[in-house]
Amino acid sequence: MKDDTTITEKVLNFLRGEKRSILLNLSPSLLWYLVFLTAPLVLVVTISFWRTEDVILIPTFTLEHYITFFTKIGARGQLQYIELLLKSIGMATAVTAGCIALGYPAAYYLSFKTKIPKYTLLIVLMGPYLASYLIIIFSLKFLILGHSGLVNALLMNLGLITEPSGLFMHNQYAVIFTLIQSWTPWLVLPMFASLEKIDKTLLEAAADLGASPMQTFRKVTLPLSMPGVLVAVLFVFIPSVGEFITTRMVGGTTGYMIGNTIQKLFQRGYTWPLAAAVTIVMMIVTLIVVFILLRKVSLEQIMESL
Amino acid sequence: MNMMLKGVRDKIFSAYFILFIIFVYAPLIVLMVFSFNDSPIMTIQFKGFTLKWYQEFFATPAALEAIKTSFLLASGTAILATVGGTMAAFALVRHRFVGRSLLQWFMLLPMVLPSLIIGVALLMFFSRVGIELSLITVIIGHTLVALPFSTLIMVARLIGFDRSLEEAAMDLGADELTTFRKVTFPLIMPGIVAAAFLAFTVSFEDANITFFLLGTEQNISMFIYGQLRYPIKLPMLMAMSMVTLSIALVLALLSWLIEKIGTR
Repeated sequence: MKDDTTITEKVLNFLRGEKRSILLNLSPSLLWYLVFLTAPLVLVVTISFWRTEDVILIPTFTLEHYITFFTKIGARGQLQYIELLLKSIGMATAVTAGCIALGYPAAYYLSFKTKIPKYTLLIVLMGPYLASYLIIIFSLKFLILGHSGLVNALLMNLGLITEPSGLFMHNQYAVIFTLIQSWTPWLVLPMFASLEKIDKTLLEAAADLGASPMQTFRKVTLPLSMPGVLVAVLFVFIPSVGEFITTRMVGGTTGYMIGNTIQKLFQRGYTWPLAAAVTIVMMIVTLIVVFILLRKVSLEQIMESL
Repeated sequence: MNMMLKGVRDKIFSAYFILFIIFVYAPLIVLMVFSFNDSPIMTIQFKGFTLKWYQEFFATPAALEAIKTSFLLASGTAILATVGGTMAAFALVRHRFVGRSLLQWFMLLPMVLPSLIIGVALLMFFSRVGIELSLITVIIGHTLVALPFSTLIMVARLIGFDRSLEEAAMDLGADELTTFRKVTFPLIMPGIVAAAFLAFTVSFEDANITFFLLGTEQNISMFIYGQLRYPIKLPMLMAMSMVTLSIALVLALLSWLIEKIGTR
């Protein structure tokens, strides 16, 4: 009996004061994360070791789906899944590089060059982000890159081609272009935030010491804005690796990515374990990238970029 | 000489920025222009001005229903993510406890995982547990993805919060609840609006998670996605896109205004 009260008291004491308020405040989101993120991910890992008979999942422990992932030979004699994963990483890298190459000068202009209030311009830049990206893809597919789209019309007017070309649609370049187009405005934000934090006197000092603008940029501005670039990489590379809707809409057969495989395997009930295994491999790959990036980026930098 | 070079460089930068804005806005500008195009196919030949695609859109119940659904989903997500995120931010900013920094990184997870993975994992989970897909399951998924955003925004606001104001209220005899209602809440209001708006957009724009978790209803993304197979529906989808965009724009302006007034 006595023990009981002390335990109750201990619990009450624990729940009183600071600890209580920490627990109380954290519990809604923590509960959400545990039930709807951790548990489902654990389930995916578990199912990746299961087998199916017809469409019924049989709990067991088999590595066959991982073996399939790493060894299955595709129609062209290639390692089917490995090649697709590498291709997806390659495409996501191209998207990331394109976004940064286009967005960095814009962020630089906003931070250093503009005479118009920069935050107004920044908000203007965010405008397209209000449109669902499906709307953007829709427009790109039919009005810009498509058969009777803007690009074809321009090229025909210039006399470079005589009839509409299908080269701008339904291939992997269309996917890369579409993703760059829809992600770039969003990526200006982190790069702008870290450019803004650069102490401008450093740049003057470099100039006073005789550095040319190019040298100042290479030796001072660029290194100091690197954290923003890395946040940008984080923001675009990861969703691009897992892309599957854009690829279905503008990708054709060459635009096919690992996300499409997951979605396809998943829609057929009997390939759930394989779908789970592919998902886990993809998750590990993205988490490695995240881990490398987060070692160089602080939480504050991510916060400033929202 | 050097000054002249600088002038040229600045001009190049300005020109680049203008091109950049055009590049970023191009899909929306052409969509706006050609949503008024009197042509049954989607083409950039302008055949004449018409409002018939807008009329067709307003006469399509499924399209209006999709917009309503998107709103429901986004509002639910905004409420849940903002409440959860704000509470978590209070714990993370105002207290030091074991595992705090680990927890911060853990909470970033939904933000740094491809949404495809979250969609697949949640669908497997719901199907194994025996929960039928509905708007609720989508809100659960969207809230998961929106939580890191709203938490981070609130953490940023709370770090800059001057706690002496709360202490002053307490010294003057206000209890905890009154202090929160009269001092803390009004001061963090702009942050809450920003967090809610961001959570709202996360849900409003999502297609990847919705793709897996939506039951029989359709939100805007899924409606458009489903209609793309029918060429005769395309012009109407342009009108729908423009209406959706206008609504989002009004919401953005509203949240910006509230933030502006609140910060003053």
